[in-house]
Amino acid sequence: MTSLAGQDILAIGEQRARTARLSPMTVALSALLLAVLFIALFGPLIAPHGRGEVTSLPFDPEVGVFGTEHLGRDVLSRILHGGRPIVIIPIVATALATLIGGVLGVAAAALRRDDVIMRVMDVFAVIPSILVALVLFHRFGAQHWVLALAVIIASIPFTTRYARAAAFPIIHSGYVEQARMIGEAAPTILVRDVLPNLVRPLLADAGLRFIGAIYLVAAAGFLGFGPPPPSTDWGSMISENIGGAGLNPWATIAPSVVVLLLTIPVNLLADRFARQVAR
Amino acid sequence: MIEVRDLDIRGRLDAHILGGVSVDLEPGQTLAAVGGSGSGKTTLGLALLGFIRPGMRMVGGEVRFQGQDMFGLSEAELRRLRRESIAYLPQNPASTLTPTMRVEDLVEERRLAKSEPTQELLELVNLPSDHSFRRRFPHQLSIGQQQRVAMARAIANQPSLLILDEPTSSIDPTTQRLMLSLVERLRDEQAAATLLISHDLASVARMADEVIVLRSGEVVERGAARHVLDSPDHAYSKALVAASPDIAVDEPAAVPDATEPAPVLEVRRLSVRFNLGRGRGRRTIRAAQDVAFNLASGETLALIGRSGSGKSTIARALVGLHPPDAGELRLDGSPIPARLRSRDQTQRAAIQLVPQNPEESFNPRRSVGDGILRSIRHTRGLGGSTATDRLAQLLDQVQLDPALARRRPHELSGGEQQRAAIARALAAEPKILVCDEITTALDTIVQRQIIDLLKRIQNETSISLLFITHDLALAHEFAHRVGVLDEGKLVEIASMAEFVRDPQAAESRELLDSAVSLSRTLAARQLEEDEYRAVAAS
Repeated sequence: MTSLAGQDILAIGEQRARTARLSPMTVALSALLLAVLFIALFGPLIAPHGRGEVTSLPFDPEVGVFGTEHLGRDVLSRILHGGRPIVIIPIVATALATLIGGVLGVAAAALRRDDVIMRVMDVFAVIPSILVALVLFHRFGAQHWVLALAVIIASIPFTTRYARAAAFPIIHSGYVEQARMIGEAAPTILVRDVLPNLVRPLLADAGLRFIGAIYLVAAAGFLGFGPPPPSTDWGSMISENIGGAGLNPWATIAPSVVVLLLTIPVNLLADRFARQVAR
Repeated sequence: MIEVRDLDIRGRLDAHILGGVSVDLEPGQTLAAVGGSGSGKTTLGLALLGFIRPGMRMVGGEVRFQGQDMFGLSEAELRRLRRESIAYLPQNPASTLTPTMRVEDLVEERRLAKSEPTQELLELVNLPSDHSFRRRFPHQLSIGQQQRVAMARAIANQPSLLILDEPTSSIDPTTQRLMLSLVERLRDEQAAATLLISHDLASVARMADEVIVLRSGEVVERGAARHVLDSPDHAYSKALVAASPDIAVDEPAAVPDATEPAPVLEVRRLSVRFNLGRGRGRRTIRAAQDVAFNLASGETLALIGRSGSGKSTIARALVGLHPPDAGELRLDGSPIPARLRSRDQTQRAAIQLVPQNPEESFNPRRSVGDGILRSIRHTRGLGGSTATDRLAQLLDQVQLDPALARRRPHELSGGEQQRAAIARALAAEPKILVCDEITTALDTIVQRQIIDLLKRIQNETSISLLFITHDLALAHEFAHRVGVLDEGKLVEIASMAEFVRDPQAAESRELLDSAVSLSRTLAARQLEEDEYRAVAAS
């Protein structure tokens, strides 16, 4: 009775590959982002000088590419050494915050009475993230995992709220109802119907969250809670050298620009991604 | 007054949306644009406003309104024209109301110096005009009231051009009559021209002087409304007219064998309640009260009622998605649990739902064929090549091209989506198919194809159909029996033939009176015109 080739009908069970169309802008932004990430991660390997090595007098604009900073160390080398914490902490912290918030948010959306989860989140949401960070530093010292923890605690109320809003229409959608009607088990529905449709909106949100995390790490550095000397990060560099801005402005401008070069492409890419999701 | 010349509008990949459409519209004239979905009707209506939807572009032609080239005007001049001379009512008029504005501000916003006072405008659309009503927000009104406020807004500027986009699809019969009288009033007093976009041919027959039939962006036929609708020339117009359900012409379906078999499904004193909101604003809505009916094997029962009469709630209660407060469901004589979770696999498979919105009922990230396969595997326990063979068989049964089954839901047309949804429901080999407004979103021709498909499947499998709709004319020609719902109560249940001959409940008579009939409407207009001519002659 059938005029189909057997393979045709077998292929139906599989998902069609989606050919992604990338605009030139998206490609450019991704390239910029990858370049900055590369510098941050592998900078220490290509730095001309060590992170503690004094190359000249303080704030000497003539030496090296960006001159020297407040202790006479090479600004370019310090930038190449100072990228890891400001990239790795936000990535790890945002990933964990999205994961935890995602679980809580899906749970809140799936449960009829989700007041408990959401009201607790509302309480946490009003505490400024920098305050959380400062309290934790006071107790545990300015360590990387403390900074990551601060970012996670500050982000979870928002990732949860977002995940709940994104999961709610999916959980109450016609296709989840259809799956329930044929008697599929809840874990199957979660894996086959809910999660695949939730991943993209959550990734879009994680991109924006990541920027908030970068700012928090940079702000902590600026406030003096950066890594212990001689190691450094871009936020600490800005605050260390702001006093000598008249002598060697590059010592503050260069680290500020790298922070921007990291946050702007992430911001724009996340925006584009979010718009695609909304479509 | 309106001149459209060779309007050429294209969408993505240069696809023709409108390919060289020319239209003239004189003051006092009503022109109807009819055609299936995707024929470019709405695009034409919006072009008269000087608007082209994002993603489309105008390639050639012009639109002149009172001599001015609409697409040569500045944005400010266009806005002035739209504010002062044009009114547009979209498919869902209630959606045009800003939720944070009060009734009086909504109407006031559209008034000009020459307009009637707000109070009179509200009275014109049969709304209360007292202070407390005027201070209400849209969410404090019923849907019908919201639609009337939208109409008051549309007539507030005394427009000389009125564009109505599928006005009857979401409006109940009483509001439809009101809208009609408002259009007539504007025509008589202001000599307003009207463009009516619709696939409901009966409402076109009632209102339009001229008709253009659009198909894939081209005018395939144009002429006087009576001529085009009564004796169309083009094959597509003929198909449109033939597909349009007509309660006065079509014979009701005969009731199957008088040998009363034991009912497949018995519904006893079913009551369903809804809780809306929480805390202080909490309201309880009784969506169904003491509803009782039987469904025999191979029978089609139509449940008819206007929006809010509890039709969908009953459908959801039957499949177990919305547990009822009281009542009993019996399948083949033995009671089944109310909750989906408590039903066993056979009970779940026995009653399948075809939803109102098929696209939304398929996972957007998977192919529709995958959705059907899933039901085959889960409800019938089939796997491997047995399951794919069954899929091929089902696709063949609903006449869906297997190549389409590999696509994702949004890549299919409305009719194809609905076929896929029917195939998925059939995959469970159910005894009862609950069809919840499955033809509402489809145009008449596709509607007809889906109905024919269901009839054929019923002949082949003697499945029972519960056909939920608000369209009596459509149900009339294929349901054996009919149940009428009014505010959650089943006010009448009878065989279709008997029902049409002698309706008992007031709601039934109301539904029957407002049921679509192209032939009846055409005859009534003929009569009117004859009378007019007789009066003029004497």
